[in-house]
Amino acid sequence: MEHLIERLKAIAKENPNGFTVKIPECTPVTSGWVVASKETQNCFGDEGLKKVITVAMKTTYIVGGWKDGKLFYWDAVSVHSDESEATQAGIENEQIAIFNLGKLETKFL
Amino acid sequence: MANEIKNLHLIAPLLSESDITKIETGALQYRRHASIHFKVESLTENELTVKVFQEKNFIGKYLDKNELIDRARSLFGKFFPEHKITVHATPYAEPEVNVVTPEWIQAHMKERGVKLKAIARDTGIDYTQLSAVTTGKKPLSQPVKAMFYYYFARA
Repeated sequence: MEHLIERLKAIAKENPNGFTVKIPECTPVTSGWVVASKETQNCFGDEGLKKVITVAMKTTYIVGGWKDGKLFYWDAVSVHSDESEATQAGIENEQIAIFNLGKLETKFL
Repeated sequence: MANEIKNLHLIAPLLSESDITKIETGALQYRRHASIHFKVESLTENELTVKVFQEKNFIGKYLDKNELIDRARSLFGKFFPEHKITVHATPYAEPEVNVVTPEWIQAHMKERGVKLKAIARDTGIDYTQLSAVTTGKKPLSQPVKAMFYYYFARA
């Protein structure tokens, strides 16, 4: 876990705008509809990252993050190839929007 | 939480709290997944002018000018359906220093007859560190690429 945390923090430092990776290998997710998990909303800092990894390891094995001001936020996400499936997942997770990594486009729910 | 949309205060008075949260969330998604940023330039009774630009991102996918304009119109148009939305878009452009690779450095060193020790002496960068990046053992960071690019531009 500690090694993974360090790798994710290194990626975060290099990519403050944001990123999404599969864990534990930390490879980029480059296609599909991204839906954030309700369970990992408002997770930030080291404690937030630990929670996100724990949630992701029980679910999708995909995590992401972005810098907001001085804090780095983390979330576990799911990625769907089907738009309607992603939309449904977004609604179930009480998300305002989901994102299409293929077209680089936000969809409001 | 910092505002995602620069100059949000120019449009906020016309939006409900709920719509501010929505448009900010939409803009955050663009930044978080694609390094696309939005800035409100002006708002009149009939026209909203916004700037959109894309930076280098984690997944290496980039939109062209028309696509960026489309995304900005889509994001702001949802909340300003009666306004003409004018968009100034700046697509991501690969920095010219990104031509620098270990092979590029080695070719330039050979062509100019420059030894690594001389570069270490001229730049004050440790020889071992320079050796690791020029042989590809360590990745070239952006500042180091820039250093080599301008070092050889000057030589």
